[in-house]
Amino acid sequence: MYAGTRSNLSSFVTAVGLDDVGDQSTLSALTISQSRDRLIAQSFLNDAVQRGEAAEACDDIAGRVAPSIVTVEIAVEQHDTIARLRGDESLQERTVVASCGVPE
Amino acid sequence: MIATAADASAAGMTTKVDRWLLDPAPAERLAMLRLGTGLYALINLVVSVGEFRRLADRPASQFEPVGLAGILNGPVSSLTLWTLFAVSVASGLAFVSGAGFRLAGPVFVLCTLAWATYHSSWGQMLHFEHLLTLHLLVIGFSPAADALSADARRLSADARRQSAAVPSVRYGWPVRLLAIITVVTYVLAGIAKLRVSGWAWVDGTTLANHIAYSATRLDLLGEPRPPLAATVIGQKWLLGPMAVASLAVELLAPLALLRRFRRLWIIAALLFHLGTLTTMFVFFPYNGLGFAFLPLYRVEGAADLIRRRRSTL
Repeated sequence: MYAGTRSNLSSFVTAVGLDDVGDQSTLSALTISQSRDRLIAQSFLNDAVQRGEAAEACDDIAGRVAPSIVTVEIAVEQHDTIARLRGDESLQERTVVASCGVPE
Repeated sequence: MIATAADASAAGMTTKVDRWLLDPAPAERLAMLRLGTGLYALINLVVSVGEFRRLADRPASQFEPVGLAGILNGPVSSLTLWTLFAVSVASGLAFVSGAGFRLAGPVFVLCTLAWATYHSSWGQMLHFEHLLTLHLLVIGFSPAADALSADARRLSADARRQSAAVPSVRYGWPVRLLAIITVVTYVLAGIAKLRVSGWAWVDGTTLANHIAYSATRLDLLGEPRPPLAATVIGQKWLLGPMAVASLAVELLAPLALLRRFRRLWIIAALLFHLGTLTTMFVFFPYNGLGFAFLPLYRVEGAADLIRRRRSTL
């Protein structure tokens, strides 16, 4: 995993929650994948997008979010990771691959 | 046929290697490794109960079998998984206490192998479980309960004393094998870096990108960043030497097999694990807490210490 070369530009599949005014909040690994392990959470999201099952994963996550969240979004984001650690803006590109409402 | 000087030298070398590999050890050395590694594995198993619960509920579509799990057509039932957990805990207790070890040893290590394989069969290879599993496989099939165990206590006092005190090859070779396995895992990691990335890995850029990647991934999950990630990225001059040091620790791991360099390498390896923890939150607890290095030491000294303390109480 750490043997390969890696660029400062990396893509991440993310899952975020939106409240009723559209404010975005990050979702924890536990909410995303029912595991506190971040590697498992990331793999859960990556696999869902690769298999074309992002919508199902979105519904799955929506069943576990806090009551203040009304929508869950799964997106592919490209970040300049070095810039982010230096405190600069890092988001280069964001594509939403699934969006779903939270059940009442 | 006339033996040349080169033949004699090669034969001498072989003898030296053989002597080192088959160095007799007291039963207590292997038994202490059973206790240390077994206790770690048992605690790790109990702490992982949440992972059993999680995998019992995962949809079959996410199952990507690796290794032995390749024989499965799909995920095992929840009942099978919980049975594996129960048998693992029961055999693990017997493994540590050394009760019925001839059966409990192989059962515990095969359960651990089954769990480690199944655990890694969901799209994420969990490397931190590999070395522990390999070590258990050696210990579980060796005479590791001939001392400091419930089995040994059943022997007569004379037989027990004799077995514990007389060093034997049967206790020595498993210990050597454990040490070699530890060393080989580090060397393989170093070779993988050179094979995949070449010498580009050592200029520090790749390491910086790995550190920044790990920190960003945590950010996006709303988790705190590793404490030293931003500091290290801010000190560009540090990254090259850190990359070289990481690679050196891995490729020079065989030095740990030489008594003269053992302590130095182990300190370097522990610092390496501390580094990955503080800059990437990547921690291999079996290694980072020192359990992986126990086979490099004459750990029976700890048993003597405990015995002496008991006798003075």
